[in-house]
Amino acid sequence: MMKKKAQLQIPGAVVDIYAVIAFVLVMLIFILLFQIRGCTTRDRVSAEIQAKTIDIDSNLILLNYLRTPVIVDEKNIDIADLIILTLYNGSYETKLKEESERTLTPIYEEPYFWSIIVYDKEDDEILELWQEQYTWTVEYDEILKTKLKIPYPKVNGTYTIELTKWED
Amino acid sequence: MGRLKLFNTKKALLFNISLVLITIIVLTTALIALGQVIPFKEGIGSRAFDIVEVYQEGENKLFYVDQAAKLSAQQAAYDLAQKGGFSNKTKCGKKEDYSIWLDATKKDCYPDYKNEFNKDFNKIMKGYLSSVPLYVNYETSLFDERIIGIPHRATVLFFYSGKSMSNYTIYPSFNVNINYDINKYRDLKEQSNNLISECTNKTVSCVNSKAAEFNWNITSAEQNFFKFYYKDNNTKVLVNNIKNELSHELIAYKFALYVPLQ
Repeated sequence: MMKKKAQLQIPGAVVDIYAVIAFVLVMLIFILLFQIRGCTTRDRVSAEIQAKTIDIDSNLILLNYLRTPVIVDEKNIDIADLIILTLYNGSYETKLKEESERTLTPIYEEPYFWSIIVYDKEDDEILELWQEQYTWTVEYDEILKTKLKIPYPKVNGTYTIELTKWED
Repeated sequence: MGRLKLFNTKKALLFNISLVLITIIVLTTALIALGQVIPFKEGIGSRAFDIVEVYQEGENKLFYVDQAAKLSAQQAAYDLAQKGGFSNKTKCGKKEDYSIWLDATKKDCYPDYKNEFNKDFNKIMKGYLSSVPLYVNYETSLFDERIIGIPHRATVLFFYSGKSMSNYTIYPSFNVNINYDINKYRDLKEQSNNLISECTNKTVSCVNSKAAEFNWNITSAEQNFFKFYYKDNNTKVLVNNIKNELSHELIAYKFALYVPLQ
C-alpha cells in the first residue's frame, strides 16, 4: 500500500514541475510577442504624430515670419510687404536678408538651417534667401517644405513663398 | 498534509496541463484578435490633426485676406484719387480726365468718397480673392490710416474627418494699416469751397495764389474751368501702374473747379 502511494507521488511531482515551467515559458513568449507588437505600433504612431506636428509648426513659423513687423523708410510694415518691396526694388534685399536672419535663424538651431524661395504665378523662382553661413559646396538634406500663397500687386496676382528646413 | 494530497491527485495533474493549454489558446487568440483590430487605420489623433490642419488652412486664408486688403486699399486709394474720387460715374461730368467738383451752376458735385472707395476696393479685392478662392464682399471703414473690413458672409471650409465630411467656418474680416488717410478728400473740399468764396469775381492771380497756398498744381484753365492736381507727399503707396508693373507712387488727386472770375 505504501509502495503504491510512492509510485503515484513521483510522476505527479515531475508533471507538476514541467507544467509550471511550460506555463512560465508560454507567458514569457507571449509577453515578448505582445511587446514586439506594441513597440512597432507605438513607433509608427509616434512617427506619424511627429511628422504632422512638424508640418503644423513649420506653417506657423512661416506665417509668423511674414507677419513680423519691420521699419522700412520710417514706415511700419511687415516682412510680407518687404518681400514685395524687394521684388519691386532689389535695393531692399539687404534689409530683407537682415530681417530674415534675425527672425528665422534663432528658430533653426544647428544642424538645421533655413531657406526662403519666392515663386511667381507661373512657378518661376523670383527671389531666394539662404541662411548666412550656408553655401552649396556640400549637399544638404531637405527636411521639410512649407508653402504659402500671398497676393502680389498685379491684376489678380499671387506669389508663393516656400520655407525649407535643411539639415547640415 | 491534506493540501499536499490535493495537489498530487490525478485531477490536479490534469488541471496543470489543461491550464497551460488553455493559456496558450487564450493568448494566441488574443494576439490574433489584437492583430486584426489594432491597425489604427486613422492613426491616433488623426481627427484632431484634421481639425488643426483645417484651422491652419483658415489662418493661411485670413493672412492672405489681410495682405490682399492692404494691397487693394492702396490700389483703390491711388486709382480713386486719379479719378477725382469717383469710382465710375461722376456727378457733373469731366473736363478731359479731371472730375468736376464744382460746375458753373455751383452745384455740389463732390464725391461721396467713402462709398466710392468701397466700390473700388471691392472690385480690386475680388480679383485677389478669386485666386484663393474666396467669394465675399466687404463693407469697409477707414480711420487713422487703417482699413477695417466686415465681410457680408462667413466662409466655410470643408474637410474630411475620418469617413465623414466636416466643415470649419471662418469670418474673414480684416483690420490693417494702409498708411493712407482718406479724409484728405474732406480737406480738399473745404479748400475748394474756400478758393471759390475768396476768388469769385476776382482775377486769375487769386486762383494762382490760393492754389500755391494749398500746394495745388494748376494743369490748365479754360473758360473759368481750372484743372488741379494735388500730390500728397506724405503718402507713398506701392501700386500697379498703367503698364501693369509695380511702382512706388505718390497719391495724386485730380479734380476740376468752375471759378466765376471777373
